[in-house]
Amino acid sequence: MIPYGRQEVTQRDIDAVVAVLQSDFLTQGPVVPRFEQAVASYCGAAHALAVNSATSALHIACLALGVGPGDWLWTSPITFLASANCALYCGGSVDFVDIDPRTYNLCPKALEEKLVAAEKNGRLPKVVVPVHLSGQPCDMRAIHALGQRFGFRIVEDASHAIGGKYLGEPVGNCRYSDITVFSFHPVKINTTA
Amino acid sequence: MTNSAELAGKMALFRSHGMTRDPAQMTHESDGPWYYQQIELGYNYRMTELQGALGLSQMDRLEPYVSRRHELARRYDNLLAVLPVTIPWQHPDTYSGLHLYLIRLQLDKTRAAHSRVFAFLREQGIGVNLHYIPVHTQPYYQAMGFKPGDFPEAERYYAEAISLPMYSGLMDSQQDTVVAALRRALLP
Ligand SMILES: Cc1ncc(COP(=O)(O)O)c(C=O)c1O
Repeated sequence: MIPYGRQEVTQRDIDAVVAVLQSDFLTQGPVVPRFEQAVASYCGAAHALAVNSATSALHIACLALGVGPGDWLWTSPITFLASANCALYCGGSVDFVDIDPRTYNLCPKALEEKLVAAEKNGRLPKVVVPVHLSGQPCDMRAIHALGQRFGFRIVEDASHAIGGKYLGEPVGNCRYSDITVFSFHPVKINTTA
Repeated sequence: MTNSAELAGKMALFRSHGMTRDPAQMTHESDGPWYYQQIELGYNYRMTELQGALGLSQMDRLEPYVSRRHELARRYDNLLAVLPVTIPWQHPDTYSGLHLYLIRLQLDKTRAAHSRVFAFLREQGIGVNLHYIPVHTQPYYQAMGFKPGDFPEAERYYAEAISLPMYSGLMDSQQDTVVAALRRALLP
């Protein structure tokens, strides 16, 4: 069987994990902060917070942005369930924006039209979650400009996109978003298991 | 990831029970060196040291991994050019992480049905997948009022899409096997 994706684990990775097993800390030790520092400096972001899954990261991102009952989160329908469920965990509501036929990412034109309509009936989203499907970044400049105009916050679901670049800069630098989320699930580009 | 110290501070609380040991965040002076306060309702979402060690060790290889994925994608692009499939278009502003290689079948140019092509590839030992089923068509979301037809572009994508194998350890020869199987599925 040739799988659709698979992790690569080298002897150095195994040694690094074994070294932790033999150390004083299995949790809340010095290694997670070093991992956070490495990802933050790779991406050029000021802060990195490691959690146990991208699903958890999306949840705490919504909490930090104050998503609650009566708030809307919009995302793409072509994504994993977690990109939408995170708003429901917080008591918020979810709606979707159709995709661009060429990139399969959330379409900024469809987003603009939906925002114009939502503004009229007072149902603007609090948060929009562009998902970088397959690892290809969304049109973040356009989405960010709409965020400025309509006053929503942006959480990039970059679960597929670590190591990718947008306009020559690493995904995760949050130049066009409030928060960016990566996944280190084993089928992803990099893993934490 | 964030550039906002405020959001980072909030997320740090939410990932660990809403607990703080930082006297500056507390409602009153600390009772002593053991003291912590819960100031939000948080969760236990912390990453373990074992996970951190694996992630950290893998960070060095991120760039070579992604370049290998780009090599494989270019090979796929060339090999698939003669088949009735749409290869993943890349916007010039982007350099993809290429977690997935997504193709769409040109169903007007083949007699093969999408579900049949998918099943055939699986029978041939190719672990294809489909990313993703439009979320609004899930029963849980339909119960909130969404229905098929709400997002037609997403649904068209779903009717044609297949994720081909894509990972840094995939060998050229395995990729050739994938393309040969796809050719047989589409041009019987
Ligand atoms: C787009 C997207 N968002 C979120 C997730 C959730 O990631 P995790 O498995 O790390 O919770 C995934 C992973 O499957 C994903 O592909």
